[in-house]
Amino acid sequence: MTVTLRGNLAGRVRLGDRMAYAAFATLGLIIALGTVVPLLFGDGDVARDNDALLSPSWSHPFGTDRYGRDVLLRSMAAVRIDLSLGVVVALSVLLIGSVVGALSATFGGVVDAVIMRITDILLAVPGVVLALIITASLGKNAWFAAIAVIVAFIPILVRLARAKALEVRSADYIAAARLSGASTAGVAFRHVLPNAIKYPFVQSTLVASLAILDFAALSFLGVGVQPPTPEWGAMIAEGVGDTLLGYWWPAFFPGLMILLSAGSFQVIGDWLDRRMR
Amino acid sequence: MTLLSVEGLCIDARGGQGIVRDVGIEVDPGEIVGIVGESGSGKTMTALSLLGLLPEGVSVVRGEASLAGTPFLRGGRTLRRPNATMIFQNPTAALNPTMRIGAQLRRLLRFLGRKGEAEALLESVGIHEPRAVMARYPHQLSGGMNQRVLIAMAIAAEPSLLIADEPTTGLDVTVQAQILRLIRSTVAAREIGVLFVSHDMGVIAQMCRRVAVMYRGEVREFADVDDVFHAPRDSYTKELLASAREGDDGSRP
Repeated sequence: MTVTLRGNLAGRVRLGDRMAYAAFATLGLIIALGTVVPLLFGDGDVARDNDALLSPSWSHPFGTDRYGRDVLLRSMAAVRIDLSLGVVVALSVLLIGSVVGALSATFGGVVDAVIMRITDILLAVPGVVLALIITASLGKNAWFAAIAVIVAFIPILVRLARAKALEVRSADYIAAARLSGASTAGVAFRHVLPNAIKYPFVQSTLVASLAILDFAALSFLGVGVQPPTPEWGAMIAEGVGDTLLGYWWPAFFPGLMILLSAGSFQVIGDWLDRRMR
Repeated sequence: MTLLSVEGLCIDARGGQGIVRDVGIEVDPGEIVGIVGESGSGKTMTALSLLGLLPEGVSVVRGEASLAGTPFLRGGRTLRRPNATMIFQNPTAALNPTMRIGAQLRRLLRFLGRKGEAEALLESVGIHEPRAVMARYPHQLSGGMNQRVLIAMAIAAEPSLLIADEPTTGLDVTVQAQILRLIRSTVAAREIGVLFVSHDMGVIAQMCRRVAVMYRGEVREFADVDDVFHAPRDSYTKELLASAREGDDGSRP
């Protein structure tokens, strides 16, 4: 009985490792193709002399869309926007979220209460809806959409960082630092933050994955990246009408890219979570 | 002259639940005074309250304390930061795990307005290779070594009072003796008064001249160690001593 259990567990961990390697490989491949393909073959923005809605073939592996643009080239050109956005959002959210969380936990009292009520308010609204409200009030622009996604994810990381920081705060070395006369902000940055950042860091890979999804959703809804700039969400929005007529490829392949990249970040996040525990 | 004098100290938890009742203790310069008692007797809370380190929801409600004649606690309010430092029960947990020993020590010394004394400080607590120790992280050192580092950090501020909260409980017996000897010689050379919190009657007998026996938040007896051990006046002290001896007998083959 015990032996089976142990065997299962080891098998699962090894499978998890293999999944993680596959995820790293997928992400690496996507980034490599997204860098090389646009350099060699262009963005696919100009409808050369291709016919519209050609089904996938050797010359057009992902087919062409209703304007005769190559879906593969456009999907690869979108890697730059979508992946770098995911990473930038994750890093900004990690930085801001963990610093605010650590300060909130270390100062406590009124500071903590105010920060927690603000995160309550932000968390009460679903992320995409919040991002929609922000872009609607700021304007249709990829930058504003990125800021909106960052704002939508910060409260989650603040909560997480604060929970861990509260645990760290009661450690003896915090008491020792306080006793030696260190300022509260000094304690927060020097002692609490470095010891509490592990969990927010793991969580930020999941944020990257969710940010890619949310950003694509915003573009799909027409408030993020505007056509004709290639972006997966915007491409799906353009191709969705053709799908109903049986031309599935203009919307399917950008969707596949979102699935692969977001999924890879999720698997890497899970793996980091196990590794760093 | 008395170094530390505590009178009528009362500590309550949130909701008025009493943790410490009317505690009075005195420490002379260079003297080691023990506080002994079972878990939950309020001995650690008494020590923490003097440094303003009580956990959230626990506070001093009454009492006065003064250090070298200067009051720092009056009517349950902290007036000033006393010139006192502390060493903790678990030395490895009392050092920041993400910083090297050297960085922590140098940071503390810079804070105190002193520089370049880190190595001499470590040598003064019996660390023979200060450079090697300073390059390590706390988890790479033994508990005894970490406790030495903590003692070095505690005396760096040149305090007149040192509070030791079960400083050897987390260490194995041979290291325990070394650390106790180190504490004794360190404070004797610097005339530092020590409030030594422990539940170990043997350690108390070895270290202290006077001892306060605490039970359920009250000091049941505050007298010379010899008197407490050989002619205990309080019924709880008698029971405590009896149980300590019983434990000794039981552990012998």
